[in-house]
Amino acid sequence: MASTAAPPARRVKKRVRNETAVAYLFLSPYLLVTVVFTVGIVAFALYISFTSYNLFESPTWVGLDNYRKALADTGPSGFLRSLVNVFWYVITVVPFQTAIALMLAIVLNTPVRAQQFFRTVFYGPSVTSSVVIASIFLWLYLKTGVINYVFDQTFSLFGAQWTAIEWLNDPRGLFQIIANAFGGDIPSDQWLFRGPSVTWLALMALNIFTTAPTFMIMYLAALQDVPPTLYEAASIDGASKRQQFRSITLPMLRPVTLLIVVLGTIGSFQVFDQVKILTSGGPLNTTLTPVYLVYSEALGEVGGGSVIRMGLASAMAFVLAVIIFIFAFIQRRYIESGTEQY
Amino acid sequence: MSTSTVAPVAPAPAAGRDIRKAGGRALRYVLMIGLGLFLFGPFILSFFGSFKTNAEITAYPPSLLPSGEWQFENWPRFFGTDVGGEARLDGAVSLGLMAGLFAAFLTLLLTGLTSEIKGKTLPRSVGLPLSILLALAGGAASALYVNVRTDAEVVEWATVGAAITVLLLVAVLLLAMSQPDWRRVLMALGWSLALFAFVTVLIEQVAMLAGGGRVWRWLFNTSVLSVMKASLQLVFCVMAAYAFARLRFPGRGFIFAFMLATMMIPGAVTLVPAYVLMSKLDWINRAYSLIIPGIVSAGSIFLLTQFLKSIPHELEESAYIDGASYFQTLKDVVLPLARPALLTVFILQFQAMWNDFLGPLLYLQRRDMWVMNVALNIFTGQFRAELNLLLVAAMLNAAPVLVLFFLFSRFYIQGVAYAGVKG
Repeated sequence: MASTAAPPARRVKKRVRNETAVAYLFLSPYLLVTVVFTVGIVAFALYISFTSYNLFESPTWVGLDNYRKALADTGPSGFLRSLVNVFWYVITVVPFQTAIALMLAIVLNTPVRAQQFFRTVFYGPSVTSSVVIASIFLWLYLKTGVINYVFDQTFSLFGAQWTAIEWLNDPRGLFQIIANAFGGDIPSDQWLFRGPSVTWLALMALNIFTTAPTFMIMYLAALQDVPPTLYEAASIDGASKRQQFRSITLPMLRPVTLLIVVLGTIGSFQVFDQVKILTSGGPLNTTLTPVYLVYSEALGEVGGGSVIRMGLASAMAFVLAVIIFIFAFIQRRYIESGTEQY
Repeated sequence: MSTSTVAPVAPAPAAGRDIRKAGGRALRYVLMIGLGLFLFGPFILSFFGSFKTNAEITAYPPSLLPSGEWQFENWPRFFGTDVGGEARLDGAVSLGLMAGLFAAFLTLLLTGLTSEIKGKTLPRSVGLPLSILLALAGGAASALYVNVRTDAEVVEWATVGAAITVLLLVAVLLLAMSQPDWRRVLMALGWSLALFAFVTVLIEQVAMLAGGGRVWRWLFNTSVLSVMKASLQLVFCVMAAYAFARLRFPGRGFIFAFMLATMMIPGAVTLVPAYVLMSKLDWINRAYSLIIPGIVSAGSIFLLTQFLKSIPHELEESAYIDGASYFQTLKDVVLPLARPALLTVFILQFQAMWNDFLGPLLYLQRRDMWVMNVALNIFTGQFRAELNLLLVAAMLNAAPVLVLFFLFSRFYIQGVAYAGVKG
């Protein structure tokens, strides 16, 4: 390598050139795969979103037709319906999973014996695949299943009667149930005002159950990074535990909270696995999600027919991506602007 | 724990506080155990559920343990499941080719660096003919193999040929950079080609033996894919991470920022075009569709880069001064230090592939190419009548990942925390 006889300047120059070559050689597998399977593919997706394409004939240019078709479809199984569904999903799942993750992390962060063991146990639902969890909950959510049993037992403790719910096949909307309780009703064509269905709520609970432990680990790592001297100083100043939590712990956790909320939002907008396994978008399309629609349009599984509409599927995916970016951007702005005051 | 040792020394007025403290600790444990049972409960329930009869599993009120006789035969019954898929050659070959390619690549990198066998340097008169012989034998075996398979109407050779050529080229270049001695490069090439032929045929034969629509085949598919993807990521992501963390080159900042940006692209956007690409390449129902795009991932590279940056420079500097090449430094100095991060990446990627659902659902549709998750999806759809078998399948699918996690939870949690917080 470095021969000592060469003049230093030349040696350095040669070394720099060599370094560049080696670096690009080391990066070549990554660059190749990314250029083809990320950049190329996204560009291609953008192109076919403006075409009519069924995989077998060459794509024909249709301009904005696909976007118009997707956004104008207000039918009960259309794209807008799926967006409304996923919107309910995001605004429910993200706050709950973040709050529960924080709570679990705080519980785990207390000094107990076998902390490692508890951490492992708590993390269990996040390690296994969504398919496994969904299969198990398919059973737990049965009308004669454990969940109904637990509700039954809890209600009977208070002397109330619990009517068993068919969790995975109950299209009644939340607002509809509330309206019913007050003697009113919301007709089925007013799906927008019926709110998330019971089945959809059940899937939300399932998802919170599996993702909260993942984010718990992130919170836990962040909690352990908070310098203990801060707490010591605060307790010398006479701050109570509650005050310490509000003025030290929460502000210190802001960056990781931003990350968790953004990651949670991106993930929740793309919910697919549980829907595919447990409900296939039903009952009455109340669990239809954008990614599920994209998937079924791309594979030609819509309505039992075999019409493949790659262009439409791609357009839907892009609309979803834009919505995700907007949400992530707003969250970032909102949470970061809050950071400045500390 | 330290508080409890301090407590007895505390003066008498603090006795009330001691009791409160002990009560608080007991409460903490109760809370922990309660939450643990809640979060792990579904697994416990379904573990016992997998030993129940089908009638009992849907009976109300539900019970934890099987009330009658334990149905141990549920498990062998599930293993006996045969949904009648035909074991086809193309899928098996794709698995074999990918595994063989990986084995070859790794041997090329590891053995090519030395012509020593068990610490003894080979005399040139032995080493040179041996190298040539090995290269010829390996090359001939591969050529023969490809020839036979092409006759058997396996067309994917052409599409994979490009990938193989590129990878081998990268490997040979790396070798040539670190080892100017061409005999060693030749020998490494010989070894790797021989191993390539062997592993390819081995994996492919096992896959054919495991049959078509059977549990054994799905387990085999899932394991091969997961191990392969995780191992490939180790090799290629470490290389990229080393470049980002240690080498200075024009475009580094841009490529790194670009990589981080790609992590934000929602998977939904790439779903359609990736499927189109795979069907155009005729990679549907072939292992390539999952392995080749999966040899690198931005997340792994990012994690490894952050870790490599935290390793002190000094050792590498002295290796350079001693005349080691970049590749030698990476292999002999950096990699041993980076072992915890490597293990983390391996575990995370193994789990990611094992748990992946949408990818295999799209690309591996034929029954002999299913992975466990896809099979499980079919079970939930078609075999709702036999929920106890579904639970057996779920437990079986969860077991490898859970075991891996229990063994290496420290690394696992480190990885999740590292990627999230230190980023």
